[in-house]
Amino acid sequence: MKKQLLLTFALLSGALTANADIDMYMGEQKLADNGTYTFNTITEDPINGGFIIDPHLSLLSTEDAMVNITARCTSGQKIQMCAGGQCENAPTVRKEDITLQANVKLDLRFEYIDNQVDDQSQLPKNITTVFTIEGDEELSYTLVMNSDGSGIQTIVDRDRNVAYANGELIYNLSKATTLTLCDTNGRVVLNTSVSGNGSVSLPNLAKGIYIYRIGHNAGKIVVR
Amino acid sequence: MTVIKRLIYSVTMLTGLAVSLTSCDIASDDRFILEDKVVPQRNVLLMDFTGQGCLNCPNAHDAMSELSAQYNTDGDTHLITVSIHAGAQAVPVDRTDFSKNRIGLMIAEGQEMNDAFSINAWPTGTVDHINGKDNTLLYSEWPGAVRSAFEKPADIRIDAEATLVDDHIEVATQVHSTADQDVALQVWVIENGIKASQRMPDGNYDTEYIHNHVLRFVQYPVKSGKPMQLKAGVIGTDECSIPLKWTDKERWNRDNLQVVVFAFRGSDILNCTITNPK
Repeated sequence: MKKQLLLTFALLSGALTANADIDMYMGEQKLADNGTYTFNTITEDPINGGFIIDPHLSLLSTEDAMVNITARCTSGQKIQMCAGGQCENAPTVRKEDITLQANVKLDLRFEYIDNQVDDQSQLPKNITTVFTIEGDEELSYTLVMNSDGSGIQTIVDRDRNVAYANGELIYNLSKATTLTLCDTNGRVVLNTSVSGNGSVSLPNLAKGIYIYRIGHNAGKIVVR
Repeated sequence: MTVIKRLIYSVTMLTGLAVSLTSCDIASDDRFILEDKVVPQRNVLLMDFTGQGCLNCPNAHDAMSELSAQYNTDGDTHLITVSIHAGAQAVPVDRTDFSKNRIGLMIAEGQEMNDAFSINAWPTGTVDHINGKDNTLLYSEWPGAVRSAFEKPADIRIDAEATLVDDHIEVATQVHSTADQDVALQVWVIENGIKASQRMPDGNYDTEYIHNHVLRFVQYPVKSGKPMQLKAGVIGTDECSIPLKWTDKERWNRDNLQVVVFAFRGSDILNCTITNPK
């Protein structure tokens, strides 16, 4: 009986004192606490116009946990976070009592959106946001978007299955088709067959505007 | 999670488990408690502040549809629902480009009303209010708020008729009051069946989303409406003419339009009605 009580107490103590390890990710990149990061991929919204900067932020915890998340845009713009239900758009967005499931990434749905401009050069530079995650420990991360206006614009077609980032044209297609990329002089830069999920490496594209056609979809890429 | 929170959580879970194990034997007749059907004393206006770029907003649209189906079952519309596009995730009408199949649904008056509620998160709704930060509701709160609103008596009744005449909607309103009182009148045009893009909860866009009961036009100033001095037993009247829109920025389908008329005082909507232009 005594041994059983001791075992129960030990297990309960273990459960009560085990802290959740929580990490923030930007895409697949794990971020370090107190680190500063840049994200410069800008997506043109061909549906509603304007631009979206989505660094694909998420939280991952080793244990079930409940956290408060504050995103404060220190450069004065309004940022948006939709995790937890409502999409809140303000210079500071705070989400309380956000539940994290053990080993399941929670997409913060954090973005900077401006649907009232037509030219990327009109977007603010160095959109800086400080994130604070309050759990068992307090974590902090700084993210700078469109740093010095060097954002590399991607085009996302209506089905969001084509994007360009970091020197690669990334696609996610339901059937095989042909990918063609031309510069503004009509010169074909790339013509290849593609299917499924994949990417085409284009690391040496000169700065400028390119038009792609993939299947029935078309769009443009701006390389700065 | 702090140590104390975790302790409370653990004790609560264990207690809940113990209770659940001892209370399974419920007679089948006692499992459901039927609520008395709400008999509408009045009409109720539910507004949903929404946006085409708001990925959580379709959930609120569904909630609004469910409530509408629940309360509008006898051929009359008692729960009037209006979607007001506003905020950072809404697309202004002046950004409309039909050549790119881009249709903006946010009008200036919608944004003005959004600001009157100090809304910076969407979707957000309100029931029978015209302004006020404290009068906003998450869509999970709409059912309770609508139910409570229906139980409030009204000393005003509004009748309205709308007629399509060439390229105008002629609206004739009668306001009946059982008391002497000052109110403000407002007239809106809403449109159903608008096919335009909407960002969905998975982050993708539905380019053929059907937007319903979208606010398209506000007749009188948003804040003040049209002042009316009502006398008990005397019908107050109003007439207005609203031009149909067919421009490179806005194109109304005249067959899908409805007219909403309501009276308000301060931040409270006293009663409302809806009619289809004939």
